[in-house]
Amino acid sequence: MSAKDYRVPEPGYKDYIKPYPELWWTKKRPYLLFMVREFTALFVLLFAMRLLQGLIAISKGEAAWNAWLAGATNSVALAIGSLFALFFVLFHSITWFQAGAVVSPMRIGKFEVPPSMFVLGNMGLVVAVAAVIGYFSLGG
Amino acid sequence: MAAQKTESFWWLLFSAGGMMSAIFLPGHVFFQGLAMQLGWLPESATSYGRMVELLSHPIAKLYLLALISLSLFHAGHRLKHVVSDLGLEAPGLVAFIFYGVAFLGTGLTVFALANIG
Amino acid sequence: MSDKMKKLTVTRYNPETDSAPRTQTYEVPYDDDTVVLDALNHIKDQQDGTLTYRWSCRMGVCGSCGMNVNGVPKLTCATFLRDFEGDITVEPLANFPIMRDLVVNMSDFMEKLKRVKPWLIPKEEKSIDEGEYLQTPRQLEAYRQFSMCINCMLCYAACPVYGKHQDFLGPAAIALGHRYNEDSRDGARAERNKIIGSGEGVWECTFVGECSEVCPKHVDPAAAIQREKLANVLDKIKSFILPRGSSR
Repeated sequence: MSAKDYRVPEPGYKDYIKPYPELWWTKKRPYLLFMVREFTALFVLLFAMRLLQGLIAISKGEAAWNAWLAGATNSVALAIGSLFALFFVLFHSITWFQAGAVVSPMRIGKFEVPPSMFVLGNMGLVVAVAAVIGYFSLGG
Repeated sequence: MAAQKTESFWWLLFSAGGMMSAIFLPGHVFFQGLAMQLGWLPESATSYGRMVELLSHPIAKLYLLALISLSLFHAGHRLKHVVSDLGLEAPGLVAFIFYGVAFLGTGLTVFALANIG
Repeated sequence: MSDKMKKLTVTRYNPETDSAPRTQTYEVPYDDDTVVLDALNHIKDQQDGTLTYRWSCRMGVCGSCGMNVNGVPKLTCATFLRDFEGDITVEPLANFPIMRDLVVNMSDFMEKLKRVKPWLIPKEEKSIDEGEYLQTPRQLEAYRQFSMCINCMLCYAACPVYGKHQDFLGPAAIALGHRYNEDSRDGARAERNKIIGSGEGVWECTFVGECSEVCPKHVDPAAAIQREKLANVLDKIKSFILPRGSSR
């Protein structure tokens, strides 16, 4: 299946092959933004694990939950971590919807929704979902 | 280096998890992260009894399983590519680690949820 | 031509005498209408006849004159000197082997283009007596954008995935495959998918998106690739649920 490697010059040719920079993603702003976008996954991973940690504590019983909760409340260090997580998770949301607008542009009847409106609408959804989560989290 | 043959399967999980985490995760990071850690949540809302009551509902269990598991697969898939972008070309090993974490996390989530309520 | 002057630093490489490319700086007069290609032509005609580069139509249609201008892949016939503050660096298109000066080896791209079968393969061949393959404007709209590609390879020069992994089928080839897959008259999706859906095809793409940014024809190869990913996965799910019934 593999195609011929044209970076190896054909006999009689002396094509010059420039090595690709190892730190290519630092060379251009869009590449750097791409890396930030991909890097958001680290915070998605960490926060999913944090939720799982809480679940495990609940499953172990009241004492385990209270101990976990004591460690999780009034912790400035964790709060700073969460602030970073919030930034990167929101960055993930925005870039995800931007990508979504490219992959499958939304149509309402004959009206083609512009990407910016699609992103804005979906971020509205994120806020609405957060409000529901807030309702349950605050004891509603 | 060509992508792995199973890439389409992982991409499906990546996409599902990307959508799930994009919509639902910010709210959780705010409330179960920031707000909880700053002590903004009332004590009654985080009591053991209430947590068990909330998490006993099958819809809540299903939701959390989907959110945690798919987020882990999403992140693992993406980070697999980040590692390669940073210049470490060991796709087999890296995939094993990240997807392994996602499978393990999924198993633990199922186990924990089954033991609640 | 006015007496305003611009410095151009141009990549030079003579495979017979050089072991690596070097640069040479020229000064060219320019006015508001001067494009980079005009400047190169001026150098070749007036200053240095040995400078080698490709060009043909001078109007953004042939796709021959793609080069990296200040590090960005551009059609030099549509890149004006007036838009640059300082000096200008002209390099051969990135990510391709350099044959001589600003000329790159396109063999890899040409080979890949063939592999996606970028031509109509009808579901059922019709005889001439049966008439044309009809298509509605809406069906045309489904692929029209992707048919605008002029094979200038700027997208390959912008793609870090191709820069790192030469086996990647790449933006333009996949976009052209997508163009035929989306054509209502075509029926060879499954056949093209053998290459487009392979490990060297769409699955190597991490959606950096720069291919679409540099495309002079606004083809949006990045969208084509992601849509092929989605279609590929949906096909697999369908064939998993209906092992025999599905054929698209």
